[in-house]
Amino acid sequence: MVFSSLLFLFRFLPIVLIMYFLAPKKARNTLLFLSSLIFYAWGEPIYIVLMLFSTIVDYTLGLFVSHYLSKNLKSKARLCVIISAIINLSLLGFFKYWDFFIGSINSIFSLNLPIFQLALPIGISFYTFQTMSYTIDIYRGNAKAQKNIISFGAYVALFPQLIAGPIVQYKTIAKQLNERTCTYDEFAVGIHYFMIGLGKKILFANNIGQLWDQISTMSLGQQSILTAWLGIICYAFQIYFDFSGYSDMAIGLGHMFGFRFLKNFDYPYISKSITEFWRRWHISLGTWFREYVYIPLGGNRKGLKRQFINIAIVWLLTGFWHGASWNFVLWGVYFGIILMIEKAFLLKFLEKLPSVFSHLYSIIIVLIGWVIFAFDSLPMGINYLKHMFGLSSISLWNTQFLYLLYNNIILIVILCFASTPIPAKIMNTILPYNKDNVSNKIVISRCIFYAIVFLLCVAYLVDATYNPFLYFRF
Amino acid sequence: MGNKKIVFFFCILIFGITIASLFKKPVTFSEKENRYLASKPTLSLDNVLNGSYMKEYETFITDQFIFRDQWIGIKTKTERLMLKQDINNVFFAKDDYLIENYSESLFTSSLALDNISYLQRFSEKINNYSRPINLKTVIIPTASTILTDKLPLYATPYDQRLYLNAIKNSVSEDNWVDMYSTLLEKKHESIYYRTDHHWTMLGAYYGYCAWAKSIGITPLSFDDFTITTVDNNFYGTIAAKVSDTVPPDSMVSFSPKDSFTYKITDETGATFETFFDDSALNTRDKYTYYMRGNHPYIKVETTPSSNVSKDFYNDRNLLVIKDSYAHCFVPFTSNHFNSVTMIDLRYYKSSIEALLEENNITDILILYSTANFAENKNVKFMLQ
Repeated sequence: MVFSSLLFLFRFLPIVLIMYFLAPKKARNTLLFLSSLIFYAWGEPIYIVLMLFSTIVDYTLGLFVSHYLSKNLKSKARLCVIISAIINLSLLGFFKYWDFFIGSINSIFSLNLPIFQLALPIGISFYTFQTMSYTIDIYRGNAKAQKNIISFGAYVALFPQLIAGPIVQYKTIAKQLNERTCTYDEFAVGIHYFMIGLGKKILFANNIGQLWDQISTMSLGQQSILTAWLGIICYAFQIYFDFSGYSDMAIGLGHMFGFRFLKNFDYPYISKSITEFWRRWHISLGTWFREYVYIPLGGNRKGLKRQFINIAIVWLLTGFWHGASWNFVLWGVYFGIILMIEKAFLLKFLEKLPSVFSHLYSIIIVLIGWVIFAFDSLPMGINYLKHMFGLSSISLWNTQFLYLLYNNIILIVILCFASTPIPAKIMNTILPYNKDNVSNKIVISRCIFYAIVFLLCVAYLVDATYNPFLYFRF
Repeated sequence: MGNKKIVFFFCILIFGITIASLFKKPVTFSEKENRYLASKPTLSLDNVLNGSYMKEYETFITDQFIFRDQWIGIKTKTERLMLKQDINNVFFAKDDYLIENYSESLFTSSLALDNISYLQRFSEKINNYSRPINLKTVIIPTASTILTDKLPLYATPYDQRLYLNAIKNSVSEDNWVDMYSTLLEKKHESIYYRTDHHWTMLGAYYGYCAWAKSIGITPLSFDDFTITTVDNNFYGTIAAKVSDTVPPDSMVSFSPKDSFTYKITDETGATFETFFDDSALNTRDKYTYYMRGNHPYIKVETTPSSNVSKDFYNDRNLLVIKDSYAHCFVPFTSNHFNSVTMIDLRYYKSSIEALLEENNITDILILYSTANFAENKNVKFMLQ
């Protein structure tokens, strides 16, 4: 199930909300666990077994880690962490990467090893990373083992963040799993995040995504240089508003049920360098790799040469995490190299430049990255880059470009604006949010704002010809 | 305090719409969209395990959502406010025209190209038939290629002339009637509906004149017909895609002043005396007024009264292989042939050759719109 559907908004959510707030506090984790299973099973009835398996394995291993630690048997505890990592990575490896690896080996060595063509279990990249973080956090003493398997199950399957993140580390919500308070204030914050996220996904991402779909499938005869640039800008907007919209909805739903997830996006497109971009984009994934891979490898503490090797490893993995396909690997390598160059000298230089140029530099590097990301097939991606840089003998612009531009110019201006912190600042200035003293005028204005966003979203969902789920590869 | 009110407001929104949508009675058929809406799927273990129950349930909710038409209307109005000139592949063109935008891929798909080669094989077969049969191909471009003056600024839909030329080149010159120039010449008249994907009976009349001349028949002139406006409140299939935002269309019928007697028999054996079904004007899908909508097989036998002097051939029988564009076209052809047999390959799967013999066919007309011809999966049954 996805949040941006009539089914979720007008069947699943109201039922879960009523039951959750009618249920006694003790039963709430059970309720969340069961409803999350239904949420997951709605799209993937069979693969629910896989998630339960991962849950039970890590629950058990977590208890062992904690047991051995209390007896001061660190090496046995360590062994349990390694077993947990091996099992989770094998699940991920088999279901996500088997066909890709074997397919590649087959084509290199002209072999005929079997591939299974299994559908990728939705959210597997998110929940395996979460359960791995659990045993590691216990081992490191950052969290205590969860004694209650239902509470642990609720953490793994928690539907707000199950299928598209953010990747919630166990230590972030360990306390909230056992003890959390739901207040009107918290719930109202949740509503705000949820409405903003819903609007970003349905009104922004879906609409601009349609234009990208049209441009990316155009024949060469229809293309022009500016059309290609317009197209990749649309894709950049689509993936940002889709992904950050999902994260906002997850954060909002979390608040409604008393959980506080960490911020996952922080206006990435206003960055002045790629280093900054990756501090603002998919923060929970970056944090995960930093805490569980980069720093354990030695991070930047063992000299520049070792740091570069560490960066290379992390970015190869980051690219690969996004999908089992060479273009994602290349995408990771691309950003790894740019980050190294920035670390080596470019960052100091960028700081001295007028900010117009550093913004422009970051945007162009990111857009080229999205071209690599968007096309599964490398030749198609390279072709598209050729269009963008005028290497495929197409005109600078054509009438179709003008048509697409003026049809979408209002949307694009809104999206540019919405990619910056300005709208949030304006909202907080004219409709300040203050727990103790909220005037009626502000309440009414906020309600009107939410109603407009919500009703427009419903209208777009009822006539939904285009409502894709972009993370089925993750 | 204030936050409590926001929470209550949110609950009213979510629960209000949920409850309203639960109490709404499901509708089986949407007259407006002219299609069957999804009904509640039946629950079974198999359905759930393979996920089909869940998929069907989601379609059910979307199709049966309360105030469905109004929500679609809100979406259309919002998009128009954002300066969008086309929504759901419909151009909002000048003079309140809604013009369907067919994608290039429709006409370059392998099906579209295969259909051309089926037609080519069929034409060769007919041209080499044991007795002479006169074959004409009438492929009608849709409004987006003819009414280009009306399109929004800079709009560049696929130029269907490319597809028309590909068809033209696959059949011999004698088998081809050029509908593009015929209709282009009349583009200032109401030859297409503003809200429906079909041509009007006026458009069909001009098409009929060009086709008749190509087979050596003098077409009846305007003066030979009584032209009646039969309806002023027609919203067609294109309007349904974007919700009604333009004034309705009107529909006309052409009836010859000379008295012809028609005996129209459909595939069930039911017979009628007129091409037009007045009762259809009380439904949403008013286009079924012409020829009573889609039928696998219809045969028209014509008896002219003795004073008919215009070209009428007792010894010629016409076969029309067609889509729904023919429904307002065939009435014109019946004033010249002893019999006209009209088949729809979507439903008619029997041998064409047997039909040629049975009805002693002397003339064949293949009549499709470009879009229907390109995406029709049944053109291959011509060769049956």
